[in-house]
Amino acid sequence: MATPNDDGCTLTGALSVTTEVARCVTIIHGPAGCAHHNFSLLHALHASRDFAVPPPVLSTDMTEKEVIFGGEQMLEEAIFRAVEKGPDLVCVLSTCVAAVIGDDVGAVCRVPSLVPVVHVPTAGFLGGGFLAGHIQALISLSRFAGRCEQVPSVNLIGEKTLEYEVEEHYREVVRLLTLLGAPVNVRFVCGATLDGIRRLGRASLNILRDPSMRPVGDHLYRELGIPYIDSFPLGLEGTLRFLERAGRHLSIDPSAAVAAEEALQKEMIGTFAPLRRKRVTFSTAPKAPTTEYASRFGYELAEMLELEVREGGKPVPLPDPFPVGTSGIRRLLHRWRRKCHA
Amino acid sequence: MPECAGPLWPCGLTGAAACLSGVQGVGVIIHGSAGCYFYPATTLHSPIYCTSLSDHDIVLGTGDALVRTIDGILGRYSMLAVLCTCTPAIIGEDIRQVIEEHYGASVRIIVLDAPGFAGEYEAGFLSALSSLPLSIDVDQQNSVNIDGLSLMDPFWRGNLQEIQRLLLLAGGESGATLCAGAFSFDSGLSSSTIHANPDLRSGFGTPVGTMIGLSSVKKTVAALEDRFCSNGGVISDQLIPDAEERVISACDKYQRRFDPPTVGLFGQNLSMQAIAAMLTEYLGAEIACIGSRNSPSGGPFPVEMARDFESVSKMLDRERPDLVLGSSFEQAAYPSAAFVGVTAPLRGTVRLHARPLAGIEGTLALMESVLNACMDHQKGAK
Repeated sequence: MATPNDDGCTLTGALSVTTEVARCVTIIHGPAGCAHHNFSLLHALHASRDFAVPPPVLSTDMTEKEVIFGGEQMLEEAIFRAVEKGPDLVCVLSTCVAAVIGDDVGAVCRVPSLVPVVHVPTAGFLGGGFLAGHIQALISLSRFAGRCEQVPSVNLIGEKTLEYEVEEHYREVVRLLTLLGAPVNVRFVCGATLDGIRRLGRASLNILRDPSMRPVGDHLYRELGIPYIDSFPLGLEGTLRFLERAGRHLSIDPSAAVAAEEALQKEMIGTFAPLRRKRVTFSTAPKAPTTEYASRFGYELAEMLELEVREGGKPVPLPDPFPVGTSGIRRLLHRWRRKCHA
Repeated sequence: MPECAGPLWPCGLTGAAACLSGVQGVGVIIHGSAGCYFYPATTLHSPIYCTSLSDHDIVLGTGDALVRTIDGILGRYSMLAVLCTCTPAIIGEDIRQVIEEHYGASVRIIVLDAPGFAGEYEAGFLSALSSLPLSIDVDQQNSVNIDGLSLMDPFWRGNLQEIQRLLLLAGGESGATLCAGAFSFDSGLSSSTIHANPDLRSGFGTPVGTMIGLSSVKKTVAALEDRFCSNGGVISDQLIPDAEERVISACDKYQRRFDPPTVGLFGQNLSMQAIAAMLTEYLGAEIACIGSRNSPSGGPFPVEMARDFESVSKMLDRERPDLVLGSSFEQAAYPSAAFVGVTAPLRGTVRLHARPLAGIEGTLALMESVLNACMDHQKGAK
């Protein structure tokens, strides 16, 4: 079968992290085509997040000559050029081509420099998929953080920076944490700074974007001693349980926050009364790896609204990843209502 | 010397994929990593396939992955095109031999070496086009081919519709449309060709002319009418003078209130040259700079290469134009200028209708966008 790898490219995963760090220049060691592919995709996704300027990405622009004679020298020159721009940080990502010709990218990055140079071991398909690149980049960057005195606060770990609704998800988590009175210490890595990354160790709880970020959560627990919750809040009941778990970790009594959120959920569900008893069917993206996972939340909503889920019903979207928190469900139900013409 | 800060233009592999995925009956397989696949797959909006090579394949050979992929789509296409990316090119595996051993002559498969490190988008596109078994059909005397159509081009659909409309009005018919629309690899080619995009001329057929810029449209249409119209040409006699008068009138009205803009253009060289000439002629614009994505190949205005974000930013900071025509990269690099999108990619905007850049309607659409952008910009400056 034609086998488009659902997981994507390691390079893209790592870039989705390094290009979020302010004043960080990312060097892609490989042909300009690899950099263009990613630069253009990042540009598209940044444009949809209303970011005006594309992130600084430098390609070593490897050609046939370097494929034959090696590209380490050109990487050294690229690092020198990147450092001249006066960034806080330089991240070097390798590509399939650099890996296949055997360039020792790690060694070049260890050459002393005026600013920190971080090698994120990515090599296209040789380095795994998108998720591997994402995780690897987060772990590589976390080396700047150290243990320190913790204050009751939260780090948000591994937000999917290429997600269309990344800021909406973030705002929802902040809203819920505000109900508990808990501040966000660092977003690792949406809009992060190097100083921010250095402060990671001050938080007393890490909240992972989703369970795929557990390797990062485990790493940060080992290195910084910070426990984690493995997902942003999903589903109505899940959002209430999220408040309880976060409160417990932060030594905050969550009962008032839970009661307030429960009231909000009831009010929100009430506004979708025209949907009641409609016949629907769930439509998910083909090959969605966690369809069952998303379905659970879909059926929860169906029960609340007394929807009849069966074949032949109006197809309503069941996105994967599922929208975050009560606000995410409200936006989803608006889409369901439109589909049902309710 | 590393000289590419934020590359803005696709590689030869994407050019080849853009070309072949616009040909009906051809199944395109990218023989390489998933990373090489995702970009063309998401930007071309056409089904393409990938062998998704892994480290295992690099060690043991990529033939099995290729055979698996071919087997998965066998029978769905009349011909398959295997585009070899950087990695198979480096490890030097004889892909043609693998295919020969497995399929012999039972399946039509072409193999194209298209490593991204070896060339630019246009070279990949034209190389892929030349790999197709195309031939001129001498019986197709009433039709004209349209080339320069690429699924990468945000204007391809509008350009195709507009040029086909003009061809019909001129008394001719649309021949092969390279490489989009109803074009199939076994379409017989007509003996003459119109270029929808002068930077992607196929080399097939006798050139009739290009369709970017009103002066080019006039010449091309005149040639078509000479050939097909026995009783004068409605386009040359009515449509073009009417369109030209509307452009002149609108530009004149603009100039009653505002000075002509200083313009920076960014895109494929010959198209930008043609647009620059039109802006000079009708709007009295001063052309501050042309930044070319492809290797410049002539034109009356000075041109510099502008294939990366840093070069573009430097040019714009140096020239400080009032109006920028280019891609959303230029829009991001210099947000203080009025902007009109003429070059891929055009991100951050919803685009649904088939907007042309070529032909009479393309000219009108462009001049309309330019004048509106300039006027909005002037209002914003107050």
